[in-house]
Amino acid sequence: MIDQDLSHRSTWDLIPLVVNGSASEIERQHVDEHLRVCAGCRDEFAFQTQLHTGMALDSRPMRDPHAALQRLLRRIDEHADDMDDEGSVVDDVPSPDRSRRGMLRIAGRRAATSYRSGALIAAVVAQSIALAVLGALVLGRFDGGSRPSSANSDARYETLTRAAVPGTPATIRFVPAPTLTIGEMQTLLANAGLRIVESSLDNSIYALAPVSESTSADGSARATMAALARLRAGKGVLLAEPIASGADGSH
Amino acid sequence: MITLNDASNDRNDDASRGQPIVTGDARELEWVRAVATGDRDAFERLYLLYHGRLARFLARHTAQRNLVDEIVNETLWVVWRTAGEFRGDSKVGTWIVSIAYRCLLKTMRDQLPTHRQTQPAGDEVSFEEVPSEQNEADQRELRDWVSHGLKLLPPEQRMTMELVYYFGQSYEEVATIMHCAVGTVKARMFHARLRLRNTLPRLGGESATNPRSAKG
Repeated sequence: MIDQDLSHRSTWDLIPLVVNGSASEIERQHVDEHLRVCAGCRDEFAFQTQLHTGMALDSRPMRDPHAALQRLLRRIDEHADDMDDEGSVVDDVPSPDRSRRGMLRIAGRRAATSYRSGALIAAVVAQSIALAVLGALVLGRFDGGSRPSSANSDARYETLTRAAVPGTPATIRFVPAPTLTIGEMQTLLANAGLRIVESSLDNSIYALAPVSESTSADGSARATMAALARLRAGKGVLLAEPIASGADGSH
Repeated sequence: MITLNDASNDRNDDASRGQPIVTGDARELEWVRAVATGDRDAFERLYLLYHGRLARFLARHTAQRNLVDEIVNETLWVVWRTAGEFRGDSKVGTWIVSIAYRCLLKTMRDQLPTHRQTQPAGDEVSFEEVPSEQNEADQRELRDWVSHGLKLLPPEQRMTMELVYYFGQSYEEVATIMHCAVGTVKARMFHARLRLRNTLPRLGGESATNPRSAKG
């Protein structure tokens, strides 16, 4: 009984496909076999055949399609001209026939598209390389070229949720003249090879350290004295003195 | 039956152009490939092959001939521009009918309610049926009955029925065209057939078996 129902339902679904000719040979055979034993489906098959025939009976005359085709071809030409005006690469062929010209336009557009795509890819690659070089330089600067990359996590900035990282110990105390501008002070410190590591609340007293750290204590002391001498030689310096280091290196 | 693979209606066009008769999906696929390279000859062949079919299909939904030509041209314009993107996953005919279907829906939406009317307005040129021969009275009656029945169907059921019977599409192809599940197509066909059996009893005959029994 179930098999009969399934056959009945599948035949019902397949009837339109047999009628419109899109059914496979196997499907057609299935329908034929079922129709031999099922009067209801035979009636449905006849009904659908009539429907199909009625839909195919269309006496409405169609206008000559060539006129509409010419309108569409003009639209295609206008579109191609617009593409040309926008700077697409199109060969200027003297008196080309329409088909040839159309093909050249398409080829030109595709060549231009291909060219633009290539240029875009090259630009992306160049930017990637530049970013990689810049990144390497930045990392090298902060790492001093000697620390392992894992030291990147010790970047010299602080966040409110992170414990303060001990900085480079200051070696020089510096009091600038009130008339010294920020630009002049920056120039002064740059010439002396020093940088600010601490300052008082009113920014009147600064603690300085050498830009480049020395690996030995003697070298560090010599660098500090040299930097101190260069600093003192500058204008606008009210006080410049070395900071005595404690036994534990603190000050 | 008019199917997308039946080029009988276009043989005169081919013959008049001195070209061999073109039939089959492979040939149409070859044309689409050529159109993708900008071959206008191939495009014109494709246009002439599909113009009549699409125009008759579209004319079922609007009586305005100018609008039909407009939608046909919009459809083939999309074909011209996107032929290079056609991968051949479906038949060329299914692809083109799918485009025409979307163009029709868009036009209907844009033109609503002006162009949804079945009667031509103003100076619009309308489709006028050619007077049939006297011995074709039965066919004319059948055609009118079917046309009347189809107009009573919900739009989705009517469209499904037309794609299956007018374009000879399979359920899977109709699902592709209408962007729905195959089961939805089958359901629409099922209910459309039931409605037509109820609205067109003369086609079914007095002794017609109740099709609801087909539900099993």
